[in-house]
Amino acid sequence: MTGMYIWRIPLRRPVTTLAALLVGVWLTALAAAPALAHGEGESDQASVLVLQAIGFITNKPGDMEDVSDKVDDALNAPHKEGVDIAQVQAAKDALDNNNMDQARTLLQQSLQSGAPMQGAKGEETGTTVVHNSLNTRGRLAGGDWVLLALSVLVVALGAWLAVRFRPPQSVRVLRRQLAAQPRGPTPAS
Amino acid sequence: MTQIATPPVAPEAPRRSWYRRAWDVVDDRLGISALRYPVPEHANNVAWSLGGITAAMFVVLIATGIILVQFYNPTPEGANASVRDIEQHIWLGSFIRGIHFWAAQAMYVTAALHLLRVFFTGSYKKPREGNWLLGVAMFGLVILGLFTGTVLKWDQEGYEALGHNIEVGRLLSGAGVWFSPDFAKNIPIIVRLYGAHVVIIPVLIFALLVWHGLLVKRHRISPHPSLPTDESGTQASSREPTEPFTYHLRRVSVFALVLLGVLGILTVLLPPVVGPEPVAGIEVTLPPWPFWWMFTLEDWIGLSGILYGGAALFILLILVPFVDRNARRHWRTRPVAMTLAAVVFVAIIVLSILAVVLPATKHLM
Repeated sequence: MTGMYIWRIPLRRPVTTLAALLVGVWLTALAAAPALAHGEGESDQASVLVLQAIGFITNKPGDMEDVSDKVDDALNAPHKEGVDIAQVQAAKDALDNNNMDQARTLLQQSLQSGAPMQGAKGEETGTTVVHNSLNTRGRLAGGDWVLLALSVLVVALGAWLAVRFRPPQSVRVLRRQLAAQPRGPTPAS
Repeated sequence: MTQIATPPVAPEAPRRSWYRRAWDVVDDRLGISALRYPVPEHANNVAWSLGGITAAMFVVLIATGIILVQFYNPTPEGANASVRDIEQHIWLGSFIRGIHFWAAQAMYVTAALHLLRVFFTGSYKKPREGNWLLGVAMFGLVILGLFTGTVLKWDQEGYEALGHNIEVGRLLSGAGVWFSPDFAKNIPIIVRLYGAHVVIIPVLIFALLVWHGLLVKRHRISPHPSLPTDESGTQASSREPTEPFTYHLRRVSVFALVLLGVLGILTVLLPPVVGPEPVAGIEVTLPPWPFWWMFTLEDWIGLSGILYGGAALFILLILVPFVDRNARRHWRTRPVAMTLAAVVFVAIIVLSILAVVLPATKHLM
């Protein structure tokens, strides 16, 4: 009787094998995976640290602490190739005066004497200049209004066609009609 | 007088319109009317059209993607700038990219809803288990498409997503080798992800989509759980009215048209942002919203949380038709399956909310 069970256990052999394989792969991954975060540590390149400071400014403008830490790290980094340290020091002074815009400009200028990542390979970013996010939300030009109007028209046309081409009977009506007919086949549930 | 017998006149065939004759010429050669096979009428409601709407979003993505690749530069030094160029200097570039972005979100949502509909109506049950697996595989590919698309804009969000993926690939050691930058050391990984995004993933989705559709044709549309079935219990009752499959296609097209208009509105009012060029060694962004629930797991147990969570979800999805094998299709008669699904669903929602609410920890450094 099909009504006596919900889950059919035990499973047949191929299904058990498939499940065992999948669980095996999963457990292998579990065993191989360290539980803690993985990382390669702090960079000792001033150019990388300056870029990270700019990254914090552009992505988290209010995060003064992280920016200052990175600038300090850059000033103290053992490898200062490609960075104008005087400009980084000036950027630090600007940060101390809460002038984030000037700090960012100075940090970006400090890198211009040598681009740190040309011809990027693998997972290298290739980033030498960091721009602000390009966010055009909330500023509708004339063309935007035309596209908006066209989109609304498309929605209206689609909705009209959806009503026009709707099926003759809803599921509820079908259920009522089929229930009224002489019973033959068994119900699905 | 003799009468002259007039020859019998054949009844004149009804004149057909030029449109009808032109259609017949085309149909004779392309066999389009073969699509007019009957499908049960319940297949034309919105819930049973979600698979078709998902396929329509795939078409939108292909069409807009073909335009975008003309202007996109898949190199680390040029990718972000080329996306900005598309946004600012290519005629309708911003709108086309916006439609591409929102269609990707829509495809993820409609694919997930389609998966849920199939689950709640028991449509994965015998003989449709194989088609469920194809659907799960396509859902995985849609997620991969979303991920690779996020990386390709090559901003901080995309780069951090890539960083997580590389680390997860390393956790998998040999199994994740393709995702490692060491796989092809002299090639920027963005180039390989670009190849995956524009060739490998769409081709695989298309191939599985064709297979999926052919299996739907072979097994026929699954019965509605609240309507009578035939004696096998696997097909709609012969008493249920039918309509040509072309009507179903028309219905799906109309729903897709509505959705396309909504995508247009979203594109104008909420255009996708291009973030700053990526910087290695910092972690400051949230992943795209479909990955938020994994992000919380990562906060709790480290990078391997992404692996555990994703693997657990997909193993559950794969096992569904092999474990839930009884003939019951109505949700009210499947309390165990419904409870488990509700637990998984609520867990994903709660974890996603926590990702936004709780302060994030750094994982890559």
